[in-house]
Amino acid sequence: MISRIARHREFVTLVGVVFLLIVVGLFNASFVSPSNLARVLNSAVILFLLAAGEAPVIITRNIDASIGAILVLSGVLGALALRHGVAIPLVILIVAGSAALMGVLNGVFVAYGHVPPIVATLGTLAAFRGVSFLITGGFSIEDIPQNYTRFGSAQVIGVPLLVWVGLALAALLGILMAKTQFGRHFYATGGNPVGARLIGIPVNRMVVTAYAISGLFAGLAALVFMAQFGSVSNQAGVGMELQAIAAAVVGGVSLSGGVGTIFGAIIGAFFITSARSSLSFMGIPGFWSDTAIGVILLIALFADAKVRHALDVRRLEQRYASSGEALSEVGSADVAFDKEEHAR
Amino acid sequence: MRKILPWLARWEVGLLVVLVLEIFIFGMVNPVFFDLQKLLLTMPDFIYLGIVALPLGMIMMTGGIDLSFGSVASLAAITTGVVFATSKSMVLGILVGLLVGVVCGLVNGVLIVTTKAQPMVLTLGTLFLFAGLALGVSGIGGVSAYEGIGNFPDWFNQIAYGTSLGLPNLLVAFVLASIVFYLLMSKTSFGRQMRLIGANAQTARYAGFSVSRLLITGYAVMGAMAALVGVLLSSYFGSARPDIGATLLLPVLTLVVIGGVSMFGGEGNMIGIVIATLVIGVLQQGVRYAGMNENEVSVVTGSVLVGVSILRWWSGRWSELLRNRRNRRREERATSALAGEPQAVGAGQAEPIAR
Amino acid sequence: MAAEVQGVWKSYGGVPVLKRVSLDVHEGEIHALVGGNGAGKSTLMKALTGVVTPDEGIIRIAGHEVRHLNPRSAHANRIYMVPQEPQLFPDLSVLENILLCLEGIKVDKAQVQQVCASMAPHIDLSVPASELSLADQQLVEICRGILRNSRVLIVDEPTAALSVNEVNSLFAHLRNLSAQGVGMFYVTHRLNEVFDLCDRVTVLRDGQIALQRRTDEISLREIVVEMVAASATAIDVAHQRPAEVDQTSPVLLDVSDFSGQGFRDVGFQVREGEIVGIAGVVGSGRTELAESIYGLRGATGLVTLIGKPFERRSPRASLARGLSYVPKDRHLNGLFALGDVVDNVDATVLQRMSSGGWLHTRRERARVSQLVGELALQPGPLSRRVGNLSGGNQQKVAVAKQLNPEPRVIILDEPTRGVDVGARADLYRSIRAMAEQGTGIVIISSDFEEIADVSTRVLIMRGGRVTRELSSGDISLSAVRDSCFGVDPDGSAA
Repeated sequence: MISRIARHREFVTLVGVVFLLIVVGLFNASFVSPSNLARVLNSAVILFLLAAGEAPVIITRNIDASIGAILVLSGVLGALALRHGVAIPLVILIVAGSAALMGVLNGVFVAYGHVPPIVATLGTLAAFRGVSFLITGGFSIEDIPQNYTRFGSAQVIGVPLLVWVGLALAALLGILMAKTQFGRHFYATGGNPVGARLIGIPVNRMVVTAYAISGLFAGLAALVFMAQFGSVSNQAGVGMELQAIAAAVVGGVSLSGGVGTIFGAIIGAFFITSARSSLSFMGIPGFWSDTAIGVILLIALFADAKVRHALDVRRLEQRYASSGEALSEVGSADVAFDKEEHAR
Repeated sequence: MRKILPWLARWEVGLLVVLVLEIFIFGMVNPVFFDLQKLLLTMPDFIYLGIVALPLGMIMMTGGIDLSFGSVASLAAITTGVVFATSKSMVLGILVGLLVGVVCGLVNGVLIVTTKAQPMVLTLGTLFLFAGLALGVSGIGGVSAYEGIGNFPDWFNQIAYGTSLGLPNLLVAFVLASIVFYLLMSKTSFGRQMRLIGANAQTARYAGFSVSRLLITGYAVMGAMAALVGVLLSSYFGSARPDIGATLLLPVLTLVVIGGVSMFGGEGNMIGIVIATLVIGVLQQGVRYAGMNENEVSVVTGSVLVGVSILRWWSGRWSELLRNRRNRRREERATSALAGEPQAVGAGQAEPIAR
Repeated sequence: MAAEVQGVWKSYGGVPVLKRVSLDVHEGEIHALVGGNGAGKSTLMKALTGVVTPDEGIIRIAGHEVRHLNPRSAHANRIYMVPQEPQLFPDLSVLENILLCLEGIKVDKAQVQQVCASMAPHIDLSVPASELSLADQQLVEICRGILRNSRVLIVDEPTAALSVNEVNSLFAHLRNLSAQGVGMFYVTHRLNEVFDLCDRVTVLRDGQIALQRRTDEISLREIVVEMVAASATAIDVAHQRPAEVDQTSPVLLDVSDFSGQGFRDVGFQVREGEIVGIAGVVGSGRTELAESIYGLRGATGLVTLIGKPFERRSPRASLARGLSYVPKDRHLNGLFALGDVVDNVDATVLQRMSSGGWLHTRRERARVSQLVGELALQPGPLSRRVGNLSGGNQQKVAVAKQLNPEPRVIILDEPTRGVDVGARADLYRSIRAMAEQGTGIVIISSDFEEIADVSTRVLIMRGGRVTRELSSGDISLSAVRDSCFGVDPDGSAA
């Protein structure tokens, strides 16, 4: 039972979300009204995309602390392009492509430069933000053309179009990770990098690809941002990388690598977003929202620790229970040469 | 020369060389750099980062990390402000603020030790928690978010803003902190144990270290120092804001990494962090005086951080390759000299390599 | 010629591990590679599979030279190594672990099932690999190796934790592969396996080839002699077993009704000046027993240390009360590789070496110098990194660390594993000196000869219980060995 929970953390988080909705709904029924839920989903799309992109990086046992900066830099480029009349499909390519390239840069530093991931991505965070500041001169880029921002307000069956798009993109990534051989390689790389290299998996290439994905999804998030807000300010995305990491962890993606799903990251993102929006519905002032995220993350970590401990205890018991024999580490103990018996 | 060579290869010496070069190069661009008096006066702008980089270095030497210290600084600062505003006692405010820092550190330490979760994730959670609490405290204190509490007594502002013996007080604080942490890490059993826990936590356990107690103490010290910096910054700016520590994480981590502390634990020392503080501080000042604005400075700092890390790893690799090649040449000469004589088993080890 | 290496050099941290080694394997040949720890076997095989890059040397596969070999190109060239320690993916299922390894190879599910069924019938292929014991993980690694369509297969000490049936199954598979033309390197410590399975044998010593012959042209004695060439004199020194300690000598350590994870109802005593050897095969519970006494694990039962009951055990408490333990895996938990000699040796006495937290570095260095001098540590600055020392010197540092608190009782777990002959002699000498001074010593070892040579009394552990005790007069290599395997003196299985 415990091992099944451990293997499918996403469902525990899903239960948590449902629980949250019920509790808040009891407090204030309008929270769970369809229109409000649609609104919550809409505000969650950016975090969905960021968390979904962050997940492969964490699964490969790394971390990306620069996605907020990638968002703003690629968003600035896209907003400028739109303002200068560049066609929308091309703008999408520019934003997604530049963002993915930034991700590749991160990946190269980590995989080939052997820079610890947190150091590398905090460094590129500063650099990318700095560059975007330089481009904008400190001003925000306003007046993104209507023919683009109308996507932000479009709706399909009552749910904003962007929500569908965001979920679809995340679902694509999820299928890639879960069902393809390529996706398996991510899990292998993070689960045991040494073992992965031994069986011929191109570990370095997987790491760079993972960062390219997180970059790409930050670019996709930038596209959503531009459509939803109609402008890109220098404050865009500040702190969102930490939220995306928190969302992924809450959704079952472990920082030790090799575990977790895109689906889980989405659920985690939804959990955090609904928790934050629920505050005002419960009469709690908005400035407690960071505390809410912190508490959720810490509870998730605590629960994880308990489950892991229970699993360890059980594994030790199993190991020592079989026929009373102890199976301690496979040691390469020198077995003495039996000179007497085998002398020829 | 042979004895000096390993010394020269030490990371700290390399940093020192970089520092001297920097001062020289920036001085050529803007002669203000050669004016020691002026240079000292610009130090408070960055030297406070070093005060919290030292304990972060200690934590990272144990193989852990604390991402929440910025939030702890914020929480301590706003608590000091609110307590002052309500009780009118500055001293009480400072004491409560520092106490809050210790408590936050204890929370981090206890959680890390009991949940055995990775410190990076756990302190990510407390980063949010403490930052949120800081906003909450400001709300309770009747201050709207991001506004600060001010009107501190003059003596409080002088703590960080004033000078002693002609040196800015923040610089004095940094020097004191450097001495304390240097002695702590290299001359006390506490410091030795912390470094060894980072080298191998299992071995530490087998050798009888009270690993939990040591780690919790370390994180508590970290919290206290973060709170101290929060209070100092409030004094320096004359205002206690709930987001005062929000921008600390990157620059302080930069200092620690450039200072030679390894993320995996067991390596690094306080001297490196001190020199790194000066290196980065001078770099940022120099870049500013050369005409770049804040954002360009940010880009430069980020690039330096990444560049130095890459350099560290690759230089370690190259020095190992060189050492292997040199020893191989020596082996070959030895074997050809002794051609025909069997080598004694068990005695065929290379000369001890002086470090 | 399936594969060949020529003139390979490899050094680590300035210490050469392979010195101009040349080796080859023919198609269908099973080529044994033997040598003591640190001789370079694993490094050589890692060079062949691209895991490490030699400083110098040529690698040829099926006749063509391959440059810049890495694991991926090694795979492309159909070279595969079954590693010594299993390297599975903990959160993926056993089946996924195997399939990931077989990418690009046409293997049908039925074949996978068949091989797994014959090598490891008891393993459920759908559970995560982390739930498997280490021995089972090793079996999965072996399955991977068998299923991979290799030209050259390297098997690195696969039988350490295998039962007799599993070993036979493995050999059957390997012979099968050999018949199909697969060239194999078989790395092992177990010399009887060399003669059972292999066509040719190469002995590595100190990074060089000491011997290379067909197995039908050589005897075991000759191999042994090549492996430990200068050992004759060293072992002679060790051959004088100290006399048995009489029963009136005070009891320093008394363990009774002791049960815990991996052992049951263990009881024994250690008197002043005794050297109690605890012999057994891997998995008999000896390390678990020692760790429980020392306070790293919980256990039920009574431990009396120097006359006083020892409850609430912990490493800290043990060291304070005069009990010390040298663990068997110095890399895992016996040493601080990044630390220097002083860091390591003084780690157990930091409280004693400081007042008010302040370390007396001069006193420290004096004490450390004295200790490592007694153990004949290779001379050099005390500030050198222990990670750069040879295995024997590292072990001396590990022992010095645990001797520093001047324990009354010390337990040494596999004290000479991975230690060269010269250091071994030094360690035995020190152990004997300690016993003469009245320290109670417990030695845990899988090296039957070591146990037989050094102990004043021997306990045999099997399946977690103490099954026999040999007093001084009864100790002999065959007695120890047979008891560990459960063979009665008259030859039948116990």
